[in-house]
Amino acid sequence: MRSFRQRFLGNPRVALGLAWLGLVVAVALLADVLAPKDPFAIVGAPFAPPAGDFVLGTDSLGRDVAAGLIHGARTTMLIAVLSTLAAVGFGAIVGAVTGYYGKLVDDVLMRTTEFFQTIPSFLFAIVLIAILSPSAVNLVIAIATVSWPPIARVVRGEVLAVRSREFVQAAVVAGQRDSAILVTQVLPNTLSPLIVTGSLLVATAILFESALSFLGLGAPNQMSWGFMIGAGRSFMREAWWLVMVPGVAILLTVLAINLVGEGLNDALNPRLADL
Amino acid sequence: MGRQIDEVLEVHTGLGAPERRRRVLAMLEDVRLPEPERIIDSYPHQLSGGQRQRVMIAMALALEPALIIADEPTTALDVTTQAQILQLLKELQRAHGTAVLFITHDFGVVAEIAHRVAVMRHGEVVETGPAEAVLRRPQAQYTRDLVAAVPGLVPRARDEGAAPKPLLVVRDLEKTYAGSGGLLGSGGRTVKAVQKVSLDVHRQSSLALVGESGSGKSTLARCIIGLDTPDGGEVLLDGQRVSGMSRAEMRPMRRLMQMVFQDPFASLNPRQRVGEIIAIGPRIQGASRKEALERARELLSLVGLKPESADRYPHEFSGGQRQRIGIARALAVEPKLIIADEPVSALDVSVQKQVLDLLNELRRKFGLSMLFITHDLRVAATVCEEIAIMNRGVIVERGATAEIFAAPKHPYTQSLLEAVPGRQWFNALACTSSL
Repeated sequence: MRSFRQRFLGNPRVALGLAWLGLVVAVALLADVLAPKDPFAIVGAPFAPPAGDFVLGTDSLGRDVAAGLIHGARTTMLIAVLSTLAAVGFGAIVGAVTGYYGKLVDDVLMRTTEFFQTIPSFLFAIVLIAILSPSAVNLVIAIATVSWPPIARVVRGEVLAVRSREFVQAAVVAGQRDSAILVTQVLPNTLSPLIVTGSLLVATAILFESALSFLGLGAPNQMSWGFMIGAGRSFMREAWWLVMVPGVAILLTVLAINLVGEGLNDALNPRLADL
Repeated sequence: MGRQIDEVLEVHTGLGAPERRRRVLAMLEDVRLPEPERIIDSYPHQLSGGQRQRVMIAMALALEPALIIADEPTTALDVTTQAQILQLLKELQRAHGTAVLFITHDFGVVAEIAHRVAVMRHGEVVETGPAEAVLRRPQAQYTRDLVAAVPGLVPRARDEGAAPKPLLVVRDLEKTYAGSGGLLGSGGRTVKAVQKVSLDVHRQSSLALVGESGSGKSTLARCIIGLDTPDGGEVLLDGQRVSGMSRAEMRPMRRLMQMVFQDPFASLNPRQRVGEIIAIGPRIQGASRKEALERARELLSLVGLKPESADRYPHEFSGGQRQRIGIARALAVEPKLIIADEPVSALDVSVQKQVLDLLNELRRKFGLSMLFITHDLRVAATVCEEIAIMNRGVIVERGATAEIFAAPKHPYTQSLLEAVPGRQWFNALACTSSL
């Protein structure tokens, strides 16, 4: 059988996805170098079409769309990655505890998880932002709050399966504490589904962030792709590029993450991929 | 069940439904199933393993084929059921005049059923011949090794100089599993897995706990080692009461008692290096990481693996090697008592012998006591000087291995001994080798 690396990187869809994601991350990291000016600064005449003085044109106030796209990549990726990490961390802890201890702990925590899942997640995120006031940190909190339940469920299921394996019993016989068994024996064996679910969650987080910014609930004074679409939507007929450019950026990034996530899944579960 | 046998007839014969039903009933009768009228309308989960295997045989016989291929048909069955199925196959083979190609790993089964034997290795047949000749005078080296590796029925004698003071005492141990009552919490079935069992293991001696699946032998072991909490009775280890201890209180006692698990593939964490796996016990008992890893390397060479194996992951090893790692893990804290739960039942017969030899050698070297749990009387006889036979949660007979083999008192023990495949062949072998 081929190694994990070969199965993962040898997959052309994964290679494409990684290439695009690498570009987005590089742009996000180098935003200040690529577009040193404030993306909110007015740099030219409004509604300048693309491929003129400005590569991607200007918006209704004469701001550079390309600069917005570059700085937007930074905001969007940062919020998406941070909120995913928070969701995965919290969900994994809840899932591990419920799966390992079972019984009453399981009942209480899983009912709580279901409570979170029954509320339509986007409405819930809007309500949270409305209560907390829009800011980058609060965006991360809101997105993480609505996205942890699926992670908790995945981890709980895996922990339930791993917990009954003999090597966990061997650790009990050796005298390991519950916390040590969870961290050294159980959780490392739940990593592959966690990584796959987590990577796909980044795509969802990007969509959440963009949608919230579109509604004007995004981080103020920070350019983001959703905000650009929101600001450009009333001029869609006169200046198509205002919506088109950030829209395509979101589409490609979400698609790339999904390709990489699926590729991870295939590479981590080679037997399933052959079916 | 009836429908599943009927399918064969429906496809291959032009018979009508009532006629086919009569044929199916006749076939179920043929394979000695009780109450064919009930069985024909039941589902697989309502039958026992042996009954299901009988239905499978009926299915294979439905069209009166000239050849039946039986691929390890008794491997998953208990020894008494296995004996019945082998008997049935022999009778049917004679009555119907079919040829049977019987695939097995067990030379005892070969001795019971075969007329001719072909021994295979690495995709090649290394030896063929009449069963009698192959079993008594194997020609190929591989066959000779295989025959030598079959655990015999020669009971192990009590070691001289074993101190009589017991290391492990189990008194009136009880464990009942309450069946979960489903959603509405009613109709739960309780299973008395272990009922008032008492036994003791003396210092530097070993006791085999023999029983068929469902006899409660594994539950008993789990209660002793603290993986399950007994409902009644007590367990004394080296004079201290360990039953009822919390896990924290139990921790120092782990030094005295360790366990070797059944499944060498499930009992090692696939994400941990072998060295780390072995080092867990000593590190909990207070050794530094460096000391513990150093010790793990020594233990690996002691169980016949390279010390460098410590840096590799479990999936890089074969089943027998993994079981050696499991043994090294159990030995890491230098325990006085090892509980081995079917440690060789998942292994091939030649590997089985190697692991049993290793256990024997280590016992002598470290002065270990052992509680050896197995379903296989042959294995029990080679490893342990004392045997306790367990059936339905109760120990029905216990005593020195030699005595039990010579004169089993309890009817269940007698039936177990009767059922050992290839008994006559073993006895013959034992006679020739002692001459």
